[in-house]
Amino acid sequence: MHNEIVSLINKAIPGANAVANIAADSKLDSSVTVDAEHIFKVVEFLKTKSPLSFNALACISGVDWLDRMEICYMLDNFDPNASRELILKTNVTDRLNPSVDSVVSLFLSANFLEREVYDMFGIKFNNHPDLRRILCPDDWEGFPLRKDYVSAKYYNGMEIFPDNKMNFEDRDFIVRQDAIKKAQVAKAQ
Amino acid sequence: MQDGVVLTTLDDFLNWGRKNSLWPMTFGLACCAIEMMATGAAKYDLERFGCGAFMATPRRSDLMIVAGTVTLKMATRVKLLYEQMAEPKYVISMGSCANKGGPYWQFGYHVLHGVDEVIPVDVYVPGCPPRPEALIEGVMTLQKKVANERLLRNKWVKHA
Amino acid sequence: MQSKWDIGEPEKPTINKDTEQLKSELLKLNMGPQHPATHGVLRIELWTDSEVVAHAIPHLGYLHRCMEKHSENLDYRGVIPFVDRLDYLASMSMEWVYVAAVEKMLGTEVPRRGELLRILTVELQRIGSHLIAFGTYALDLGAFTPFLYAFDYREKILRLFEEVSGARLLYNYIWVGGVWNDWSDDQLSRVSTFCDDMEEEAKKYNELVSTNKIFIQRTANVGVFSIEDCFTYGATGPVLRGSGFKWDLRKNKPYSLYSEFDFDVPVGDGAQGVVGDCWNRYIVRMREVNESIKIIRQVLEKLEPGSVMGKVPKIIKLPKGEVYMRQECPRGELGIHLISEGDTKTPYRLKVKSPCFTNVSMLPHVAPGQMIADFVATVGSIDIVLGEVDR
Repeated sequence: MHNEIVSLINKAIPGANAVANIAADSKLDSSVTVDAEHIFKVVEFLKTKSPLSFNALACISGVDWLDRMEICYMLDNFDPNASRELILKTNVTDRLNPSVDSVVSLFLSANFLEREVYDMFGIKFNNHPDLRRILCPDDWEGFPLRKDYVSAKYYNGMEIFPDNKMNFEDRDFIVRQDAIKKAQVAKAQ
Repeated sequence: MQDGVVLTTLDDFLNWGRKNSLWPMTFGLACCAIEMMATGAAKYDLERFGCGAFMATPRRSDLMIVAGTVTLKMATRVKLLYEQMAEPKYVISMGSCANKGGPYWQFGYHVLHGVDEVIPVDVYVPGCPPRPEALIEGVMTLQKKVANERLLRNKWVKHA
Repeated sequence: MQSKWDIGEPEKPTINKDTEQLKSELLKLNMGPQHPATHGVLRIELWTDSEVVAHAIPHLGYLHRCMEKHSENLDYRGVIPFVDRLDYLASMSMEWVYVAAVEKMLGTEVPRRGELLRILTVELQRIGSHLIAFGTYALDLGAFTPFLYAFDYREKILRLFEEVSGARLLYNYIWVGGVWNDWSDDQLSRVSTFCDDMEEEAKKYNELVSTNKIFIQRTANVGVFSIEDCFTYGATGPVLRGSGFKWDLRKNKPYSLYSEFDFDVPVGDGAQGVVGDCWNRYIVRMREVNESIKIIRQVLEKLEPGSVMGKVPKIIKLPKGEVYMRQECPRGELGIHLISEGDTKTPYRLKVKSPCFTNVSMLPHVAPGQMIADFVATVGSIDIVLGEVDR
């Protein structure tokens, strides 16, 4: 299914560079990656083109891969006879100031979902009608789900991260995980 | 005038009235609020202890049961609600999250580590979430505390 | 589009011509975070023209507990208690979605008895969750007695869950590979008795509330969502089915052993009011209780002795890749997007697609033109749980 969708996208939208990431294992899910500049056109195409006609956007999720930001769109087709779902991905290489086009005018569910991705990852959505933080307070600093996020010690006088926070030696794998992440961050910079 | 006279101190009389008509505020934050509702509902029936009239406004409630995780965004509102309550007012911190952050203590960048950072707490009820019996125990502990109060002594003032 | 979300100068609603001639100002009314009818700490900024809502702007995040950040730092088994706390009224369903995602990546075989017990617990949990939805919805509309009835019967479910898992609300019962504990024959026979009682009780609820004239007047023709609205807002679960669209993942994309079971998918049929209004969303939940009872009875017939836990490695390490698992939970489709880096004991990223989050985003659409009391009825009818909205 993914290869057919990719060929359809590439035929209809030149420059979209759609690639199918077919999972090697049947246990895992496959996905389709497109270029970030054409994401609006691709989603519009997937929504309107008749054999595909994905009519709902279930979820938008961001992933911080340290060298790039990935945005995953979960598209659904509510068809009782032949329902389909598709994971559509796009990559933003500019990690410090990422931005892609918003799809709110196609799916109204994207309004809150994109605000959440902006809140958690700092990815700006162009043409979004109301891009504010949604979960964190408006005066929050930083984007919490980025891998290099370091929480502030205080917020409005309330202590968030006291020094005696946790006995990290009890959880050796967490320490190892942190070391790996630090090395990756250093490598990316 | 033979039978109808009971001699007592003013303190005891007022405290007796207060402790048996604690009106909690309808204030649920998270999971513990469901257990608080269960405590007020048919099987556990908090009303038996003179504490079941859940009021929807802070202005006419005596007791605030902080039931659930207090996030940083919510902390200022909790404080505001506490300030809106009329004296005398009491606070029960229900559940691990309200006590000290609970399971969200370690990586919770948006979770307040204990509601006692913003408002004074009278009774802590441990558990995640505490059983209704535990909450009833907490309420009864608070009633004992209320019964021993002195009228002319402010409970927030530290000096004896 | 621009003006719809613009907070600066909200448009005035046009209700009828008489009110337009009167000079009126929009009044800002804060509903929540401490409000008995918002089911938690949802805050809604209402701009009202006297009693009529012009705009409703939901403000979320008062219960943002950083669950996704936590799961990136815990091992795969350690995430389960945090998934529990997402939707604290339906913890079993939440656990199963996450565990199913891990099992799919791991390729674990779950024993048949384990799968059947999962279905049993999840359907019992669905009844419990819908009972709370029923009780609190009636409470929102001013009826206190149904709340007591609903909690009384929910306690019977909790009693069973407490015996098998040790907890009343947040169970940590469904584990990777199966379930933690087996049900004894005595407990299973009590489930059977409970089903009989619950069926009678549900009839009583329908007489007491569903066909109550006051209740119908409060809920019928109020807060109507069309099917197109539901699609564009991504609504699922009872909200979508209340709008008359027959969609249930248990039926349309059967997971686990659901294809073996015989049950109906109730949809809103407009018996009162119009399809897609509050009453139809409510009645879908009440009918689902009966369908769940049907499934539980079939589970009890199918159960055979056997093991409840499959073989799982002691330290779970998932292959590099991703999986998007979704299942039908009491409030809609919950999706877990799990990304593993390979060779680590922790998930690289865990994203929860929450049904309530999308349902809340429908409120600004339906609010303009409603009375405030009708808006309360609408908020109650979509049955949100804030732990899942804010995560």
